[in-house]
Amino acid sequence: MRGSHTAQEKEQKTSREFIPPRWLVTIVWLIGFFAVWEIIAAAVQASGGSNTVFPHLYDMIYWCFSTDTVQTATQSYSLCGATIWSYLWDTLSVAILGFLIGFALGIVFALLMSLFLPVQKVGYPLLLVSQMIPMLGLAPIFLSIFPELFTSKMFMAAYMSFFPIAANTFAGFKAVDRERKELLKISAANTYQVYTKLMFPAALPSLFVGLKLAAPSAFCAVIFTELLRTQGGLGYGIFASQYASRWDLCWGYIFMAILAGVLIFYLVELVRHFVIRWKSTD
Amino acid sequence: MERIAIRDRLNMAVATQYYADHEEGRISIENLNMVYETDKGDKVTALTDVNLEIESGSFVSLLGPSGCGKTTLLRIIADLITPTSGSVSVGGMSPTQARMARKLGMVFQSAVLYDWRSVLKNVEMPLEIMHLPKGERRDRAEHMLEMVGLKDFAHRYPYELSGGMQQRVSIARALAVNPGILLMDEPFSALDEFTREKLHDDLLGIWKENKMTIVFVTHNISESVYLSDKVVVMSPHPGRVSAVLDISLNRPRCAQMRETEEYYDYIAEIRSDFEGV
Repeated sequence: MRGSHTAQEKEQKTSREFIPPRWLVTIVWLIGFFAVWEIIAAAVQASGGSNTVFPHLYDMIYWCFSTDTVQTATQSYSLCGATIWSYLWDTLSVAILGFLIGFALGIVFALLMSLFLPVQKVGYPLLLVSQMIPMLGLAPIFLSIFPELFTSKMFMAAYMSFFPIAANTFAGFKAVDRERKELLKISAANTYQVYTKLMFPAALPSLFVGLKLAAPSAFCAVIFTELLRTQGGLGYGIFASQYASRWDLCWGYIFMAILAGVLIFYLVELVRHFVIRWKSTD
Repeated sequence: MERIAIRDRLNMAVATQYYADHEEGRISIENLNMVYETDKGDKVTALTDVNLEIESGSFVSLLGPSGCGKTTLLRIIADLITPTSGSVSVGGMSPTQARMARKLGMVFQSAVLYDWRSVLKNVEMPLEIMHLPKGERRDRAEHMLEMVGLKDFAHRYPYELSGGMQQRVSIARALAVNPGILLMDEPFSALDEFTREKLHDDLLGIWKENKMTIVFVTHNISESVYLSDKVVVMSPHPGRVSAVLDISLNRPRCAQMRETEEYYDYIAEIRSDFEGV
């Protein structure tokens, strides 16, 4: 017995692989990314292309904090390092507002579908169809419906976050265990109690799946709408810098968008971490 | 005049006590039929002509193979489903009235705890629904946890507990509202033999202390003999009561009884009931 045990342990030991800590993975990943980027940038610039098409990363970082303004031939877009931060805020504030509206509407819609079968029968296919409308076609329509650019952007963000939140919250409601509901029935709970004490808490993990999909797509929707009309925001920055053939600035805006999108995703993840402190026993 | 009033009041008290002893936990089932309709439109008879008297404060097992309708019968008593025909009286009321009056407690095969609540908060759940004040709720839940021997685990979460402990919490939760009737649907069948036998004795202790009626669904013959005053033997196709057996083993029951001849005789008798079908 004892012999076989140690043999097993030995086998386990040899087959155990090195699992690096997370911070190390992140650092290696970042260094790798910088190295590959810089090699490509050096190669592109050495081959005689425009020195802004694939700028060095340090140029971009320098530019983000500089105050040089950029003039184009036809228009005086005021593009400079200082604007990137205010543009980021333009985009982010609208995206957050739209996201919150989509969040509220999504929850309400999921609740109505769960409470009333006719709403579910009519609403769910509608929800799916609404998701098939391409953003490319919808943004101009929103822009012509709402006179204010701000409102169009906000509703685009709301629209994009509505579906994942509604669909996932509803899926969460549907997945609630039958016996858990029956227990509340035996306790003579009313509908309000069933939802506050069981349905919503039970649907939370699923709701957060929806939120993690919705948050970045709300942000993307705002950037996309900004590309179509010129008036502040990261999308405008991307558009204007491309128009001015300042690819280095364009990359700066794109990176800022990526960074903000990733941060938003992790922000939702962080909230989830603090809200959901339990594990399922099913 | 005053003496009469006192005597009336005494009579009332006696009557109330009598009611509590003999009626509150009494379950009467007459000519009960349950027919399901499947999606295809076929009719399936789950229960046919069931007549059953369960006395207040007794421990009754519904025993049978799967498909015999034992769980269906339990769910009818719990007002989770409505029978096709027949009458059901639970504590002198209809099942719906009994449920709304919070006379029922339920324990399922899996503990089905609310994963996002601590053990204590799980036991408090039915009391919250009754709008019991917070302090009282806490005291009652703590008392219940003490009764099932989980006082030290009050602030743990369900996932931190073993299966047997989770089922104890589930029993504490069912008993928190002090129901006259405890309904149990194969509560120990997912547990290992050792945990199950321990829980048998614990459940009998709790039952003795709280004096409620227990209706216990199981497919385990020895389990039903060890626990019950009365074993209702059910058989399938169509689901029906095929025999009712009184178990007159002494109380309190203890593990040694599992070795006695009397105990084996009961098991053999029930086995022969099944063979006769």
